[in-house]
Amino acid sequence: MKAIISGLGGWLPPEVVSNEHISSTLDTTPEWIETRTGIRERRNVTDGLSTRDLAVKAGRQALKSAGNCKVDLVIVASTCPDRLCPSVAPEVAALLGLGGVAAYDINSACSGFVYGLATATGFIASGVVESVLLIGSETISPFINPADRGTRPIFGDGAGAVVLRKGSKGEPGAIGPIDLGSDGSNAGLIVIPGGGTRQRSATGLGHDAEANEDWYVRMDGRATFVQAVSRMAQSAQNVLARANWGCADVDWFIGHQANIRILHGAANELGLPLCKVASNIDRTGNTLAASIPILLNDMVASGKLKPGHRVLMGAFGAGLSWGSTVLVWPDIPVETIA
Amino acid sequence: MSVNLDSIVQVIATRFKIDANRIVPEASFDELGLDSLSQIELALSLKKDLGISISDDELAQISTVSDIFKMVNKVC
Repeated sequence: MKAIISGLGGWLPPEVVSNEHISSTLDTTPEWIETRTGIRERRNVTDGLSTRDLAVKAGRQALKSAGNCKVDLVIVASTCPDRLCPSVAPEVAALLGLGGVAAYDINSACSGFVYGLATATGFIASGVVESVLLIGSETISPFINPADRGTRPIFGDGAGAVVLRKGSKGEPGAIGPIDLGSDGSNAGLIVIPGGGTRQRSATGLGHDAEANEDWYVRMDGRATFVQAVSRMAQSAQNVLARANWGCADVDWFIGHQANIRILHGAANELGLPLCKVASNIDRTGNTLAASIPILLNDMVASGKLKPGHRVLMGAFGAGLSWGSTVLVWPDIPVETIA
Repeated sequence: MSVNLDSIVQVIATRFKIDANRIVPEASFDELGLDSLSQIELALSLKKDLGISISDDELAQISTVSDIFKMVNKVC
């Protein structure tokens, strides 16, 4: 039994934050940001919007794309859930009118969507469920230090979702071989230190016991760049070999939108022409686990990604964690994400 | 093992799509239009194409094509 992508949707909060705006408060320029990241603007939540709210918007779009079918399980992949407990997926399922279906969150940072695909594939293959709504939803902006030039320009908020149903090998949309990996020895490269049990057990309750910076994302940009290129390329090679595909078989590399130069670096390592590297990072920034489904939606809506195209999907993120898979793109309708 | 200058010039020319004639020993990264991220990208390409690993500390000392040549032949 295979998991087949049968619906796709996404949503971005309306507040656009330009490089010009960021440059007005940081020691940088719009050109510096764009040449080093490929990003021109990103979206940020306002008015109390949360990860749950974005997940509901994207999930509704994906269900509509799938013909408003029923689903048996809702998985929300997020690095920044609304709170430590409970997970947001049950609320998302309730707000989508899905009744008492199974629902829970996973956190594998920017790799969360590919990890979510693997999780959904396993549930369907084992027969526990017949269909899954997988949502990558991120409101990372409240976790970004507005004074940090290394992270402030990079990250954005957004959500993307797919519906997966049971089907057969060879069907368009069937999730192919999956490669996953992690490296916890480099957990400190991208981290939000505050808010978890490690600090609570060490310092007790109370924000005063923790440095303000611990509540924000910290990232060692140079080391992350090297790891991201190497891990994404190696994982992609692993999955291509298992699928018996060569680089020439790939129509689109749908990679996590971390930084355009990381994506180009990974393509260079793979020997993949840059014209096959899909990207929308110029308008979204890095939306972590939401980036791949948002990119897929943009690619389908623009007509670039067509039914029958062979897709190599790859992600890398905090953990460290990474994952890849391949599929032949199915014929599914989408709506443009404004 | 030693690596000649032409091999390094070829890696730079291919990776950054620069005319090889512009990549002379005294050319700086700035003069070639390369930024700080390009150092990391070059290190990844040297590893992939020539099998040479350069550390982050060593990278920080590089500013010209000649520096790369000396560093590569020191580490390999």
